[in-house]
Amino acid sequence: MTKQTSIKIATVGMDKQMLRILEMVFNGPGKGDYMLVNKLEDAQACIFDLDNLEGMKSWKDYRNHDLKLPVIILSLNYKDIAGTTFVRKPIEINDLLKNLIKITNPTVTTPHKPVQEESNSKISESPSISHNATLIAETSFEKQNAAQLYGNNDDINFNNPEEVDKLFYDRAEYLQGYLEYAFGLSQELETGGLLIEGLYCPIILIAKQNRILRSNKFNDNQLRTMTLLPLSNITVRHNKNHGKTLKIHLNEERGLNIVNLNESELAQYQEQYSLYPQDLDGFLWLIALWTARGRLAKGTDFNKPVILRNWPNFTRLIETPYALKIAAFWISNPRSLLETAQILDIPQRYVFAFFNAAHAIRLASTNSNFDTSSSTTTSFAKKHAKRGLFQRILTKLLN
Amino acid sequence: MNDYKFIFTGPTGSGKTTAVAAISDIEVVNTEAKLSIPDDDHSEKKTLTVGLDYGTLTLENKDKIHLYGTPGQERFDFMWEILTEGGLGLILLLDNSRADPIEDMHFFINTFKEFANSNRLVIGVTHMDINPTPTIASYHKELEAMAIEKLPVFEVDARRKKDISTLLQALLYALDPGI
Repeated sequence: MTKQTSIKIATVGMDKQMLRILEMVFNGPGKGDYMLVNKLEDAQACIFDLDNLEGMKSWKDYRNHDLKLPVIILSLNYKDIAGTTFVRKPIEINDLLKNLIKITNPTVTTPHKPVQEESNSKISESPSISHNATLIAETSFEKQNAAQLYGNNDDINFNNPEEVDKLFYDRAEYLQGYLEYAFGLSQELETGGLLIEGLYCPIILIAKQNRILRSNKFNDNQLRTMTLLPLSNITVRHNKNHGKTLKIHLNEERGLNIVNLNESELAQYQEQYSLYPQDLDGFLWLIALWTARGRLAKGTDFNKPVILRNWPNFTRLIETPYALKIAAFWISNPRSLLETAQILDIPQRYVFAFFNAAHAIRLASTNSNFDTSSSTTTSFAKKHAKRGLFQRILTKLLN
Repeated sequence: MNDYKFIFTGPTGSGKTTAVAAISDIEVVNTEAKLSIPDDDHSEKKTLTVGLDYGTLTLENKDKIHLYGTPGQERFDFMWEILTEGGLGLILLLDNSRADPIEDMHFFINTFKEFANSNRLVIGVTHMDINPTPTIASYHKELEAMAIEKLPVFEVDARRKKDISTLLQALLYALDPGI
């Protein structure tokens, strides 16, 4: 998604994975305002990664060079180098983009803290991380804030088309769409698994056992980074029989490969990459939450009643706010997303987040043919004789 | 002060004693006996509940919720009816490492059909780490085939208070989504 006006950025000391992430950041949240170039001479700004020998050596060479570009220094440890802008690793995308704007357009003033203060701040304690911001870090999922899972949108005014437009995203443009596509394929396999290549490390879906095999080198933050970036220009290939390509998109050189594995191939991969099993539903549920952040997938009709096929396996899923209440409500009262939020008096983003995640594992859908008779509302409104007791037990359990 | 009860049931080794202990306010009273003959399904299991397990939850207003764990073996089934009478709800624990956990589910659902049909039953599946199949989806499919309404079926570790608490919360919401 580069433009004629894209600012050319050279990088020094970065490995292929990091380059790939940058490329996706520039094409995604960067909106094509930046593009990577190979040579410093062709660049308008430069990013140095000083955490490896090549980067440090290149930096020393560069310092003695006549070429003086705006420079961002990346490192795990604070570097106070005159004439450069420091960005701490693990990188927060918004932080990187903000500093790129600053160094490539010095007239733009962005509110910022003094460098020393910024370097001392802990990313995991950041009070609010905006929608596109992400961490490429070794922090545990538990520490991530609610906004990363459910967003922080206020309730939408559905009479305002602009607000309604902003509510939707196209999951086919994100990793979520590819994983759900792969999930569908893996459900058809009686034996073996479905390998996805092209991410940081290979992952294998075994739908019959509700398992995904994943390397611990591929951590949650790397995964979350990939879920946030549009992958619309990534190739997806499905290789069922070793070489027989079923689906090819735009780019032949890079992309996601989907390959059917038999039992012995599966065992080989597991050993070679030290893959460990994880709950597949839980994985897809989490991807959906991260990607949607309280929004709805394109095509979801918020006026049609929701059919919840079964209770999600809540003990092994990220429990979204009010999830048990919403699940019980939909099981007994198939109502639309909007009505659900209104009747239960729950912020819309929580209802949407739950629906979207449940939809990802094929437990929830909207159904135009379902007749929502008034009796369902009546049954909900009818107060259980022991409601007071149930509420006291609930309070006890939650404490 | 009023008294109510929840009942934990399921086959031998499914984790009933552990589950009651996980959420009880008091130290669980149980009547266990040493196994004289090894249990075919659980070679590591050293004791067997021959009477019942008992624990309590005391609410803010001093109401007491009694938690009963039934003995797993069928030869004690005469106690099941007594224990379950007047129960607010039934927590069925199934052990996925047993030979045929789906068959176990059939047996207990048929035994406690009244609970299943009145939405007063939740299912916790233990030992899925040892044996991931049948999956939770398989249990749902089987319940559907039995024409049982959509019941909460969760994977649980009976030692984890949060898992058992979530099961009970689901039971309460299933009984009254309006709470």
